Order: sequence, then structure tokens, then C-alpha cells
Amino acid sequence: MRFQVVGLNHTNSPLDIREKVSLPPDLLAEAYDDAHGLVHHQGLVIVSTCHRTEIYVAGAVPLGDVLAWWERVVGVDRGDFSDYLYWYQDDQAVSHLLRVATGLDSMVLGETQILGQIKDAYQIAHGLGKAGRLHRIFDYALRTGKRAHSETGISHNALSMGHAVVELARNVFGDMHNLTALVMGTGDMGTLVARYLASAGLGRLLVTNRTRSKAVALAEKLGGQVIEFGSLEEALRQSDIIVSSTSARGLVLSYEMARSAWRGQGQRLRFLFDMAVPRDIDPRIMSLGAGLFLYDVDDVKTIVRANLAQRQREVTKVERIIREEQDDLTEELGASRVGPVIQRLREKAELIRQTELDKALHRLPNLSEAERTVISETTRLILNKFLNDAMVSMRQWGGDDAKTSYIDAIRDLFQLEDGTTGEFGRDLAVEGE
Amino acid sequence: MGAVLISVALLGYFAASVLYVAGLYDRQWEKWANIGMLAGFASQTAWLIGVSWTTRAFPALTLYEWVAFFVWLTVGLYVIGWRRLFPRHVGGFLFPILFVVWLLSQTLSQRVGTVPASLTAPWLGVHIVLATAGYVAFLFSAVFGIMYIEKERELKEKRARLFYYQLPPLDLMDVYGARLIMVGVPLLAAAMVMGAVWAKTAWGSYWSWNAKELWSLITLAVYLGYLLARWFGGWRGHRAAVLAMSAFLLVLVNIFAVNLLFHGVHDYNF
Repeated sequence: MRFQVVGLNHTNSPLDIREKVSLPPDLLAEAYDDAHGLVHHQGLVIVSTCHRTEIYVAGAVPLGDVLAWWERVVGVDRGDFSDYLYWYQDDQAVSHLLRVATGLDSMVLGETQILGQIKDAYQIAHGLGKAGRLHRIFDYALRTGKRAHSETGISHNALSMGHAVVELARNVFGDMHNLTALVMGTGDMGTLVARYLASAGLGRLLVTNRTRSKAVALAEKLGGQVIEFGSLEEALRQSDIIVSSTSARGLVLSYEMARSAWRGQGQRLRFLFDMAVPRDIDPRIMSLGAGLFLYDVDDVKTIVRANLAQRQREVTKVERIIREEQDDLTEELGASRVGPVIQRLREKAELIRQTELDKALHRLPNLSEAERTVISETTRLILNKFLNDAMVSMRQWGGDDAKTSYIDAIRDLFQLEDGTTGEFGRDLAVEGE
Repeated sequence: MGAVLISVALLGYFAASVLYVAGLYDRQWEKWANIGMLAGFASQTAWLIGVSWTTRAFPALTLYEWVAFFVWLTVGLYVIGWRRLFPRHVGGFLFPILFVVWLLSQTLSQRVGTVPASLTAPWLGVHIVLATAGYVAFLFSAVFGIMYIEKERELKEKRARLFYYQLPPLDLMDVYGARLIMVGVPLLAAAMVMGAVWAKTAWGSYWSWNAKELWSLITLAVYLGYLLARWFGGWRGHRAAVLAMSAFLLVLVNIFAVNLLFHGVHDYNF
């Protein structure tokens, strides 16, 4: 089966081009409908997101036909976008799809959204009856994506400030359900962090601000509780996570204040995020206990950078999974070519054995049941042993394009060509260029 | 036969040590580490059964046997608790320690044990199992202490490296460490109370102030102190982790130094 992909993505094309040629959901039905005109096509899946538009085609469809169809559907002259296109075939196309599915090809390395988008794209094509023979390939793509997410860290570790703060807190506390967070000030960064914390299943969110109305607004939005600036000490006492992002010139949380607020709380774990510039929290408070962690904006950024590096280290592991899955797919496509031939050969041999065995037993009517079994078993063993090497070799040919003709030779040699099975086998064959 | 089984077990645990550490970097090694661990465990189980069969006694009467039994019990708990009770990557810290401890024990006299006539009660086995189980719990708490300190270091330095990414949350390791000590203290205490009652019948007095008894008492007191400091002094996290690690040094001293250097009624054990 010939398999190709043509498309463009965020790395090689500007946004205005991607916009023009994208195939949003409302265009899809029409696009798939129009694909009737693609001669020889045996399956079509359109993957269109804000970062990429890719057309996956099964069958020997000339590239020019695909482009003609594309420009017709989006109403943009192909000259306007053909410079940005990439085109891969067969193994390379499979490898490209698997890379996309695992997030290796994404703008945010290892992101998981694309896997869902591929799944949706495939289901739409399938629902319209257009996916055709791409079924197995997309199955493999989805499986490879899942494996990459579960077996490697490619999609782990936050790449945004908000996520990184939640992740840091989780690394200290684990479960967030019993935790209390205090948000001081309603600066941009503090608000952002508060939003992420609130959506991470935080137990209780306290908000305080010099201007009370702003605190009320934020607390309402995030389901928090407003604390008067005056009763900060009690709130500090109760909080496990403290986020500060006021626009104050001086310190908001001083050493003395923290010391008196946390007196008698021993070595309790606490995470403080000072998201303000200039900083709100006196770094000297770190000497108040070994359970304290204080990160400022730059520290969180350092973690984000380390996270990206960590994901990049996972790339080789994902590539290993891609190779494994691609090998399996190649083998499976090959097996679907030799499988029917092997089966026919077995059936023919078995038929001959049965016929001859019946004749022989008919001529020997005085044999006991045990003797009949021995004879029957012997013929079966002879047959199996004789065919075994041939079967093993044929299975190995499956993945090897250079040996396609051998399979035809087997068919001729044993005269296996009898209608549907042979045709079916040939139909699924991975035909070369 | 015994030497073969010991070699296989040592080899299995060595493989597990290396591969669990490798598993911190790449998960694909974990399944091989598990295979090594299970092979070692099976082989060691067979060896212990063999020793018990030959001596017709509990297979932990000499120090050499006892260390093997201690390692075996630890691995057994790891097998049971693996994935359910313990977070990932405990093996990467536990097995190197186990391997070194057991390897050290190979230098000990390998005489198989004979039971002193005064101590042939079934109490002996129960006494040993209780104390050993207590020590196993303490070893696990020390392992969680090490994991805590390593991860905490990266968090404090604000440099996310291996442990930041691979180890469970600090709070979890802290709580696990404490729970294990909460299990270990009653076990060791029970072993000692039982020992005392039995000593009364066997030796004529509850307590004879020998080095083993004294050191065990100190060990128990330190672990009890850990719990009290935690409950009443707010000791958590860093301090608790350091205490759990240093307290286990007392156990190691008890195992190696006290058993080998001091002699008395309690020292049939070398």
C-alpha cells in the first residue's frame, strides 16, 4: 500500500498561510466529499489544528491531484502555499505521523493535545467512511502516542510558569486537597499562579490585597475566601502555600512577621512563591525552618528551563518507541500480505493429507483405534515438519519488499491462485514505487 | 549447592542494585531489575530453607545466617509492597544498601548454627523474627530518609535534576518514613519484652545488662525519641529524615560491632 502525507506546520510556515489553507471542522465534510475525485485513493485523513494542516492519503494518488483538491477546497491558489509544504511517502510518512502523535513535532515539545486531535481527525474521517485503509496506521499512531506519554517523560514536567508552580508544590506536598494557599496581592503573575493552583484541586484558597475590592473579585473568580490585610498573621499560620505578587516597594512578609506567625509550628513544610518585582518576601525567613521553600520568579523560570531540557532528554526514548512501533507496523503490513498465502498452502496440504489418509484407512479396515491414531498423527507430523521451514521463511519475507516476487512464486508453484484469498492478499500488499 | 544458591542470589541482588539505579534514568531497566530481584529472592529462599533443613533450626542462629535472613525479609517485604505500598524507585536506594550489607556478611564465619541447649524453645524463632522485622522497618525508614534528603537538596538548590523528577513528593516520603518507625518500634519492643520474659526462664533473670541488650535498649530509645519529637516537638521533614538515617546507623552497629566485639550469653550469634 502506498502511503503519503503532504502538509505544513508551525516550523516552516507563517500563521497567515496556515490560516488560509487550514481545513476547520465546518469545511471537513465538504473536503472529504470532494475527495471522490482523487483517483486511486484508498483512504484519506485530514489533520488540521492551529499549528498544522496535514493530508494523509493511502493509495497511489499523484501529489498534483492532492494539491489540486486542496486548493479547490480552501480556495487558495497552490502557488501561494506550495513553498511551505513537506511531502513524505511510505516509511517516512509513517514515521512522520508517529512523531506528530507523540508530540515530537509540536511547538511545545511533547504536548499531549495533538494526540487527541489526531484521534478526532481519524474518527471524523472514519465516520464519513473515508479513512479506508489508513485504519491500521492510525491505530499504530494512537498507540505510539499513548506509549510515549506513559513510558517516557516526554509529556511530563511543566513548561509554563503557572504549571511549574503547581508542579513544584506537588513535588513537596503531593496531594493538594488538604492544603491551604494564601495569595497576597493581585499582580498579573500572582493571579495567574493562583488560577493554576485553584484548578489543581487546592483545599482552600485565601486571597488578600491592600485594595479590598480587587481581592474580592479574584476570590470570587477562583472560589476563594477574602482575608483582611490586617489579619494576615492568622492566614500565614494556616497556609501551606503562599504566593505573593503585590506592587509594594518594600517587603510585605518580613522576617519578624513570619517568625511570630509560625511560632510553635515546628518544621512544617511550606512553599513560598515570591512572584513580585521588587520582591515581597524577606529571604532571611528561610532560616526559620528546614521545611521552608522560597522561590522567586527567576527560580521558577529556572525550573521551567530544566523541565524543557528534561523533555529533550526523553526524545531519544520516544524515538526508540517510534522505531519499535514502526517495525511492528511494517511487519504487520507484510504479514497481511503473506498470511493468506500461508493459510492457503496449509489448507491445500491438509486437504491432500485427509484425502490420502481416508483412502489408506479404508484399505486397512482391521486396524485398532490406537493404530489409526498413530498413522493419522504420523501423516500430520510429516506434513508439519516439511512445511515448517517454508512457513518460517515466508513470514520473514513479509517485511521485505525485495522478496515480494517470492510470494507470487509460491502461489504459482503450488497453484494456490483460487479467487478471493489471493486477490485479498495482493490487495493488502505494500506495493513499491 | 549452598554456594551456588548464594552466588545466584548475590548476583541477582547485584543486578537489581545496578538496574534499579539505572531505572532512575530510564524506566526500561526496571523490569530487568525486577527479574534480577526475584531471581535473587528465589535463590535466597531456597538457601535459607536448605540451611534450616540441615540444622533443623531457625535459619538465623549465627550472624552470617541472620544477615541473610534480614536481607531476605527486607526483599520479601519489598516484593509484597512493591507498587502498592511503596512508591517507585525505592529499589534504587534499597538494593545497593542490601547488597553491600550482605556482601560484607560474606566475610563472616560461615559456620552454620547450633542451638544452645538452654535456648531450644520455639520462642527463639519468634524473638528473632520480631526483632528482625523491626530492623527491616527501620531500614525502610532510613531509605525514605535518604530519598527525602536527596530530593530536598535539589529543591533547596533550585536545580531540578534527577531526584526532583524521579522521586515522590517530600511529604509522602516523610509520612512513609514515620509510619515505618511507628511499625518498627512496637516490633522491637515486643521482641525485647519477649526476650526478657524468656530470659527469666532460661537464664534466671529478666535483664542481664549485656552489650546486646543495652544497645538494643538505646536503639529503641532513639526511635521512641523520634516518635515523641514528631508528635510533640513538630519534628518533620529534614530533621526527621536525618534522624531516621542516623538511627539506622545504631542498628548497623548493633548488627556488626556489638555482635562481633562483645561476648556474653547473648553472643552465640557470631
